Amino acid sequence: MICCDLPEEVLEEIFSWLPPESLFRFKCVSKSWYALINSLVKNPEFVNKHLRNIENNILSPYTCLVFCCATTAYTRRQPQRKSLRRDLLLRSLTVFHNRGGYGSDPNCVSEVFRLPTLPSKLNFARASGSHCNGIICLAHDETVVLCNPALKEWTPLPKPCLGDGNGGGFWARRVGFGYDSRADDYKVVRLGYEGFRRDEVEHYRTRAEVYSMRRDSWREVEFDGLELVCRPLIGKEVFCKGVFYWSICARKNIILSFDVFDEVFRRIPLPNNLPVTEEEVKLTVWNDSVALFLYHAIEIPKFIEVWAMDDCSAGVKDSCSWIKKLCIGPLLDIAEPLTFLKNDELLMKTKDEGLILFNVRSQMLRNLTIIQSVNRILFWEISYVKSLVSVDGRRQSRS
Amino acid sequence: MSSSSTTTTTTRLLMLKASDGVTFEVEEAVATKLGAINNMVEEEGSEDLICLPNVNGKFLGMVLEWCKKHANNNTNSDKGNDEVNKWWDKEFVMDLDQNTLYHLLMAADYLSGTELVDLLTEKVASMIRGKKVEEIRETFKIKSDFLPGQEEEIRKKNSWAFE
Repeated sequence: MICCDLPEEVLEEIFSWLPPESLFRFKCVSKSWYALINSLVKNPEFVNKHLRNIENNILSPYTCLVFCCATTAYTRRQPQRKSLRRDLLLRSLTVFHNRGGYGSDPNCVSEVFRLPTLPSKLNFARASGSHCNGIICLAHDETVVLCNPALKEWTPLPKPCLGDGNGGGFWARRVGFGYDSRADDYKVVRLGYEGFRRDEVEHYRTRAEVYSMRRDSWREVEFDGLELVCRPLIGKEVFCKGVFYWSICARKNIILSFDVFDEVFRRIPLPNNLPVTEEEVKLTVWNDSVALFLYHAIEIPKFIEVWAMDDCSAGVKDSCSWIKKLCIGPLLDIAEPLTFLKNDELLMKTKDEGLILFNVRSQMLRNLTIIQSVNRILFWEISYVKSLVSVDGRRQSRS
Repeated sequence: MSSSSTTTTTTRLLMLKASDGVTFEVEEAVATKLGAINNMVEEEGSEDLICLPNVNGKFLGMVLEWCKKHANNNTNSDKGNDEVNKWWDKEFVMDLDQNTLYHLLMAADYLSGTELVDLLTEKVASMIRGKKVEEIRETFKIKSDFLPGQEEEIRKKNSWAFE
């Protein structure tokens, strides 16, 4: 039996491996545990150690994703926004990678994911979600909130400076939330576009603003906004080594990057010899590099190519090169690739809105039947970890 | 700085003596993975016999086994090394019972084997993560010292952690 005379520093080490709910529950063990846990969760050093340990976990490595989904029947029959919101559901999916070997099923658990009660204006289906270090940023129109579901905390951000009615109608399309390690600051980037008429033709110009938790304010980022002749589709961001990337589709594909430290946008050229016609381009992160999924949207069987970008720190113009790393397929029932998990496992969406895992090394496919069993439409998904990083004290100076 | 800390080619042997008199002959490069031993070697220099009155031979042996594996794996610096270490670490703690785990953790902490403490505390955490408060008290042999009502109040405030 483990005895009660463990030195406090050892107890601290044990606590740094526990999920927040266990820590908060164990406050009830004794007065000394209560005092120790209370002081630790407010100690930035411990909070950071706890965060690092989620990554360092070697005994039971896992990946957690949060999905925003709705039942198919409901959205088809009643597309009104009000009723849509009621049937939306957040679900977490935790995939465990500890089974070892290639032939075994990865364990996974799917649960209802609870957020603290958020402002009613926030429409999840239309919201864009972004995650960093246990904090989820949700944004819809001019409402932007940060929340840490593991701590049951949330905080609204100040009103953005780019709003509807500003400069002929600005549509915020994507929000990226990331950590700037050089400035020890959390930042939110809000990217969208506004329409304007030139020579009787509707044009669209991209605009963006950035929020810094340290400054606690928004400011517009001046950049050579892209001018497009059709309404652009902006894909979900990826965040890699302090830089956000978006793929933008407006007749042709464009990649934009945003460095959270110097707060500068750049355009990243696509691979030169890219087959241009009817190919879907989707960003991802593969082995710590930004990468592209290239695949045909409709064609069956599907082949998915993965191109990784050479490390060129934030993509200084024309200095990027792309290398084709993988070609996956032929795949039969796949609708689209979603994201890479640990251990070279690729999560994909099937044609019937189910999820499937593909191990790139062993070439094995695994159905994640837990989510598939409920017939749902996936709106968006984000990676997630349970951290102790608080959003409550964001207005106070963070030491 | 002593010369011993800069050269990796020396195969100097150290004698470690546990509380129960059991002695272990280990290479310096292995033993100095433990912060406490590294300090002793650097401070005392020529001393070849190190007495460790707080560590039983059984657990010292296990700690040294861990050090040896990690020292060996770190010498050939190929890429799969990290994977090998992880795999071996998993095996090392796989079947440890609570009693052994406790003594091993105390020994690793006393000897300042930081990485080993990391591994062992992760193992403890994985064993207690889902437990109830009462089970934790039993495992750690702790008696509740809250006044009547106090515990209830903490439970109420953190009710979500009990779901």
